[in-house]
Amino acid sequence: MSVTDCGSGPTLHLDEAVPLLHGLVDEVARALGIRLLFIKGPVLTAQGLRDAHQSVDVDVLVDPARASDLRQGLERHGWSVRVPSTTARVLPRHSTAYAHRLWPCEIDVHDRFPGFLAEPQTTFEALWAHRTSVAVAGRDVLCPQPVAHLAVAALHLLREGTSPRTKEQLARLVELAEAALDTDQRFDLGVIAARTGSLGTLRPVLDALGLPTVVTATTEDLTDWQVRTSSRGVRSVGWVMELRRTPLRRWPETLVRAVLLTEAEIRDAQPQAAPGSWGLLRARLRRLRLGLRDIPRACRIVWSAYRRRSSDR
Amino acid sequence: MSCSWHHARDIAVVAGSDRVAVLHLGRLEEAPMILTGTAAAIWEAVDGTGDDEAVASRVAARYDVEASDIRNQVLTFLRHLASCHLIART
Repeated sequence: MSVTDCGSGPTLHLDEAVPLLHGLVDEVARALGIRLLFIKGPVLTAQGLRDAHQSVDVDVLVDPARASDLRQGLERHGWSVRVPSTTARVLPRHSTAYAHRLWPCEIDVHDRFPGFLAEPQTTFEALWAHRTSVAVAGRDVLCPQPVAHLAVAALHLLREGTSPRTKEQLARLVELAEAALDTDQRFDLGVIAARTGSLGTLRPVLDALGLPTVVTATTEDLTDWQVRTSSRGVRSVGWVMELRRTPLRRWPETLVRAVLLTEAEIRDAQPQAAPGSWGLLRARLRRLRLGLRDIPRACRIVWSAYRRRSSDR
Repeated sequence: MSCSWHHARDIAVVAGSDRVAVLHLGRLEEAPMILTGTAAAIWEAVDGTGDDEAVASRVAARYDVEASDIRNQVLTFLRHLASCHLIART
């Protein structure tokens, strides 16, 4: 027998890295006195709200007031933003992905979560008030209680619209929620939705669980959410929304940004692009061609959503 | 007097069949340590109750060998884990 099977030789597997990273992020946050909640992934599975499958990253929702402190804390330990994003989005940027050369997966730091339309700090406080802990990699880490986590998980799915796959996943989530939560706990979902401004966005799940819902006014945020959920796979919709929000005099600058984007973002979206300036040019042209092709559809989606909002008033 | 070995408190651990990944939470810049085969067996034999001899005996029993045949290697590895602050004596 020889004891040589240790150290840096063997490769860290994803199913080891993800739980260990929960410990790492938790430690960084504790050392800095930062409140955060682990969301999705193994904690959601442990709560019975997700079938077991391998996560590819670690998601945390951090106290928005301390998000930059957490980011700096991670950076001090060698983590860095993988691809700084400059692209336009329908909804505000909600997270930043951090990568590290020694780790096979990323940490996704959320300072807000799409679909919770209340102020990010208000939403965080509501979820923090409904927190619990789950053991991951031998450590107790904080996460939303199952009912609050249900809201997060549901919004994560609802953001992707109404494809058959999403509907199937949502139905499964509701099925798991019915098994995991008693009637009182389910009722709490409505309370959390009201506090976090997600009565409108969570409506499909509230309805599916038989919870009473109130009709809320269609706000600009909800309209943006509707644009996001009805535009899956439609390129350019983020830029159409950005132009809509931009004064006409600043359109040229925005359009230049839309056409060029950074090389890192282009290559991240098209990893098959050839190296060098020629490969980059071809990738840019391909993106431009596909983007232009989708513009009429993107405009129709945005126009319809805002027309519906006007008629709701 | 020989004291029992226990796993450090400030670690995160993922243990699978014949493989253990350990992250020292005081050394977050470093990669996790991956233990496989006999290294994982020694890690698992450390349970907070056994001293050098007990750990060596447990590993020997697992591999169906004499404890005296592997004692030195087990003790060397225990010292290595201790130098990495992943285990400590009670």
